[in-house]
Amino acid sequence: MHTPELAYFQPGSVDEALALLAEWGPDARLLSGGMSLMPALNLGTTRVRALISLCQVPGLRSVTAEDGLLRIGARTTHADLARLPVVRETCRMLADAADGLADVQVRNRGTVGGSLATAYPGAEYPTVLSALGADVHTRGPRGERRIPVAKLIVGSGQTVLAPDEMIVAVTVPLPVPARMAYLRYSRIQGNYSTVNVAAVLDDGGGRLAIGGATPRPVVVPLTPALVDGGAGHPSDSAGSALMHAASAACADACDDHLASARYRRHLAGVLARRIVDQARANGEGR
Amino acid sequence: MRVPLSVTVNGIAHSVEVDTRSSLATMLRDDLGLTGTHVGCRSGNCGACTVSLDGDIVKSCCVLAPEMDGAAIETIEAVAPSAGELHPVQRAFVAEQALQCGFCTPGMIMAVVDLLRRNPDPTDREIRAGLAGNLCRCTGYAPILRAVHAAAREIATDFKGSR
Repeated sequence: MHTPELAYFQPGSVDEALALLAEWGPDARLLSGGMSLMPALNLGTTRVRALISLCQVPGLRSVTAEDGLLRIGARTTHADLARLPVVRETCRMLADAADGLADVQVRNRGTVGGSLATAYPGAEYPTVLSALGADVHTRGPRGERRIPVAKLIVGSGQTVLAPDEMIVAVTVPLPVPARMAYLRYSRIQGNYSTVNVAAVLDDGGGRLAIGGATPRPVVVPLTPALVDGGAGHPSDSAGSALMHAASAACADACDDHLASARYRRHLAGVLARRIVDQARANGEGR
Repeated sequence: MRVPLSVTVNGIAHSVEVDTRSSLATMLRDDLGLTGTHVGCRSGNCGACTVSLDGDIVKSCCVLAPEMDGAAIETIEAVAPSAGELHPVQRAFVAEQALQCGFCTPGMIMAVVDLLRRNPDPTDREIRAGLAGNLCRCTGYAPILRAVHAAAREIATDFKGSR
């Protein structure tokens, strides 16, 4: 680690963690699963003078479903989400997304809160949770905040979180419609998605979220006419409208070594059609 | 800054004092002398540093050692049942030539042992998914897939034989 000296703290409560964060300011980082932070520290692309580990803060690694909300503690791991019956039964799309990301070792250690705070384009949760209309719950010196996941991320690696604020939980409104689906495309198993899409359909249409294509995930409200544009539908004009809406939402698509902006916009349209069709089929029990 | 830790590694309780900057891999290699765990990339990609932490495999280069107080860790050194005998997964890797330079092998073995414990008869697809976090630059993976199948068969036979 490229630092001459590192102060290490293991607070026993959220309040204690917040006090340390306020005291050390930008010199400190919270350590949750460490799956993004540790590589960055090892490689020297991020430098800190203090790490505040959340491993001993009670209550952060728990999942409950009550009062119409699936509540996921910030330190819940990807493997927890993939295997906990309460997640699979109430929100299968989220369990499947967690089960398909990165690799076994990373899923065992990486956390939901850590992934959201890292805000890497192409990560699973911003896309899936935006489509589900989920909220992030934070704590900070000015109290608690509830932020829609779709509004949490403002750019690649950038969130609306204040430097002295931390994510404590995510809530997903229940019940989740049966007509939902998630799809990721990456060139190598385990890499961040080049583009990923999640669709949640209801009687009024629904929501389509697209991640990876742009620096921040985008949400496309689906009208019933757009929903009719799934790949299995005979109407080409509705399909074209859906593809066009998805591509147009990705106007500021990323252009990098993985894919050109043009390719990402095209892929967003193709995957949008496929995922809306899949979501509809899931609702019919196919 | 250094912190004292109590950790159990391969069934043996240790009291160590680690630099706060240390990873779990560094603690195992430099503080405890267990150099079977290899460090390839320090960025969570290659999986050579895979160890079992409280029953789940992790990439030890990306786990901060100070968090390990009270943890139970298993490394490649504990996989073979005795000094003169290899684990069925290790024997299968030898028989199927599932290694060449051997650098990735400790991590591969840890991942395969974990995979077969959870899924005793995996398909090719399940093996690929189970080993997605482990890179091998020599074999092209085909011999590794064969070795996992061979190990699964041998473990199943051993199990039946022991009943």
